[in-house]
Amino acid sequence: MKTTPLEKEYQFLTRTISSLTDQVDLFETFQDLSLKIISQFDLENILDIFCRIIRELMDYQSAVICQFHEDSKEFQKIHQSGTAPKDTGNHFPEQTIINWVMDQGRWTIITDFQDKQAQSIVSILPIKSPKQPIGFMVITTEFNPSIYNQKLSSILNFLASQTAIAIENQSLYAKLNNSNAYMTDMLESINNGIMATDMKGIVTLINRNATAILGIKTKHLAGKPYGAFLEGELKQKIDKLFSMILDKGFAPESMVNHSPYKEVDIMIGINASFLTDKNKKTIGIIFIFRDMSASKEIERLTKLDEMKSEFVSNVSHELRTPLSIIKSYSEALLTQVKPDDHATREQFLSVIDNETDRLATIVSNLLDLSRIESGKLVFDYSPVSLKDIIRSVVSVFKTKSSNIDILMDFQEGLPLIEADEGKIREVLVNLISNSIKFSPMGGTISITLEQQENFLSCEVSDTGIGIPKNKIHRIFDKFFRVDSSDTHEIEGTGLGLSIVKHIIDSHNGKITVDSILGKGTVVTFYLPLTRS
Amino acid sequence: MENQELKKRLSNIRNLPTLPLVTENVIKLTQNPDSTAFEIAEAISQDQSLASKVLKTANSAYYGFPRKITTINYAIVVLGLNNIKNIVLSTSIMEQFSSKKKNLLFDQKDLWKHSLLCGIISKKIAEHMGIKNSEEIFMCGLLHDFGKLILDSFFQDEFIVALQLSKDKNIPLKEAEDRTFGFNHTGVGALLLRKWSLPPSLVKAVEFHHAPEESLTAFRIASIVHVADYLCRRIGIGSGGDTVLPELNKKAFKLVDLTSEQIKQMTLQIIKEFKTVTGFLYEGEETS
Repeated sequence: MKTTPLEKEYQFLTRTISSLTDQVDLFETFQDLSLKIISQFDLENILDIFCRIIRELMDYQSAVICQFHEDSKEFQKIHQSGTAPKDTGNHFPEQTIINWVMDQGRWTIITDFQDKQAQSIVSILPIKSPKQPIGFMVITTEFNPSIYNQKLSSILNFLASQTAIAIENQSLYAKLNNSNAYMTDMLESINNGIMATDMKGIVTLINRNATAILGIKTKHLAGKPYGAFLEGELKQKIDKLFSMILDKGFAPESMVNHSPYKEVDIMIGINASFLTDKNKKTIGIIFIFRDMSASKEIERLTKLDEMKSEFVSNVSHELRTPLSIIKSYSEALLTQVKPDDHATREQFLSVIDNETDRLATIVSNLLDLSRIESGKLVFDYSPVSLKDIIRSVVSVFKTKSSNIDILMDFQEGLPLIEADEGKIREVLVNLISNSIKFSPMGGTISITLEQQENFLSCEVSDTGIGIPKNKIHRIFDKFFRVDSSDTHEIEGTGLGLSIVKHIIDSHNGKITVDSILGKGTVVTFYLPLTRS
Repeated sequence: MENQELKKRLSNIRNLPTLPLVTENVIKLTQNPDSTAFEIAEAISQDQSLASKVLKTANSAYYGFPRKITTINYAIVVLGLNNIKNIVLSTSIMEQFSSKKKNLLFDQKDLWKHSLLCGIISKKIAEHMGIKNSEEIFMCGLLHDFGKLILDSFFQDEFIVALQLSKDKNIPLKEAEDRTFGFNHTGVGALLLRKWSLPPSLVKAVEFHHAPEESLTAFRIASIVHVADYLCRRIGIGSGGDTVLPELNKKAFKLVDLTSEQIKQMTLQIIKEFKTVTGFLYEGEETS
């Protein structure tokens, strides 16, 4: 077999060297162009520039770019430049060929030059990043069998890999933007205020709730030190948290009373903790501001609930006692007391009568309370003489009790007041009966009445067991009873004073308590002369 | 590195194989980036037997192109110049060395299996490392033990001594060669390939595949071949003439950055695919 050498050695070398130099020049040019592709963050722009460069290289009739769906072999056309001639309309390569070319990862001509019917040449240029296949370009060019050479092939492959990286960057960039927006949405929808600073106290992030809770009016807070827009106690608290966390690495929740807007006073709980990057290096501090009003309200309701259960057990006990007494006395009357033993019968009946009164009082107190709770307690105001009411109430008590003295001292010429007589009577009954109840050893109750400017002040003082200092502020709370061994024996529902307070409040009056444990208690209430 | 003794011995061989002119032409043409598929196809077609072998290989399961490739021109545009260059080169080299005298200690067919496997693993490692031109590295793996073919073909008597020495003393064949010849297969292979003006990186990979860190310019490629050679011997398909597992160069292994899990996966895959993979060139060897 006769084989001819290519050319003379030196001719060949010269030709090769000049071709290689050309290729290097071309590469430099396209490197510059590909920088243009890489610096794009918009997919359309990337594909557009990519197509323009390819067209410069190959003068194609059409170029179609397809992109793979994530996690699947399926793809979708995302860009087209130029239109393929009609006869190649159906020449889109089949899936097996595309897969094969993607596997090989280099520009491949699909059209067999031997194919007599071929009017144009179809080639596939895979767009692959080092990590994953991104997509491919189907290029249709005029029929030219000598289109393929290594220079074109390596430049196309180079450009495709640059484009792949650009597309990947672009999608990362888009994802980053999305997740940023997502994070911002989340931060904004959190009920608490959030403020992040760097290690120098410069704000890096602050959400709307933080500005609302703190009442900050300054705009564009990011980039400013927090001291620039916070002041007073709030700033001091944050300063303290800041230095504590720098010093010790943690800080307990801190409370501050803050008035973000006029006449709005809220308790704010502030938490601070470190922000760290993925290498666990601290890069800042995050402050969380919590409006404590809600938690205070929950605390209040929980306490109320506890008091209610306590009340139910108290009330049941209070109702039971008179009931069982009534029951046993009436049983005795029916079965054991002889019909002609009038003395015993009378004695038993009067016990039953007393206990029935007691039941009636408890029930009426309960009814009052439920009216107060539902706001249905109606007041019937008319000019009344407080002095007369006091006299009348005291006279009732005087007939009942034996070992208690009730003294009265009234200022001369007191005016009438506008009040609901029945309710004021109730107040006095409650106060006096309390004084009697809590003077088990007997003693003196003195009631004084005098005018102080536009008010009448009535003072009811006793020489009873008194109230511990730390319980005084709670005695008007519903269901509250001073719990001690002294009071254990004394009946009551804890409702009386609560009702008293409500009645006085409704009259725009005031009620105060002063007491020394073991010495006695002084309750003073003030009622305005007129309602206005 | 080149051994004077080796040069002298080789220059004394009158019928030292030369690369066929067609192959030489093809390799030269592929070095010029402006050469078109047409020109190269024409150069290959001057040797009809080579052309038919190229087509057979191009259609083999190893490449697995979904359509039938009927012309050299189409084979070039589909497989790319690097693949074509590899097919042409390995086909011609194999033809040169269809051994005449049987050597009971050294089966060229086993060496060919070993070489092929080493080429495939080299290519896979290169792909794992993100190296673009993995076909070129396939060639390096394929030819890494080329020197052994020369030793077997031209210095068979001494080569048998070396093989026996390796077997008896349980030392690596390379060391036995050094003791017997004063040189070894790495130098012999590199010398001849250099003479044939094959790419310097290929020559260096062959020359340094037992000691990658001794080469500054080809550390990467020699390391890949070194690790691939080591893995081949562990898998145990084919044979390089001795049974001693060479020491794994730690620097080279670090460079290729393979975890033991990845090696396991790769090994399993290769053992599974070796049948189809040998469709490349192996059949050609059998027919010769």
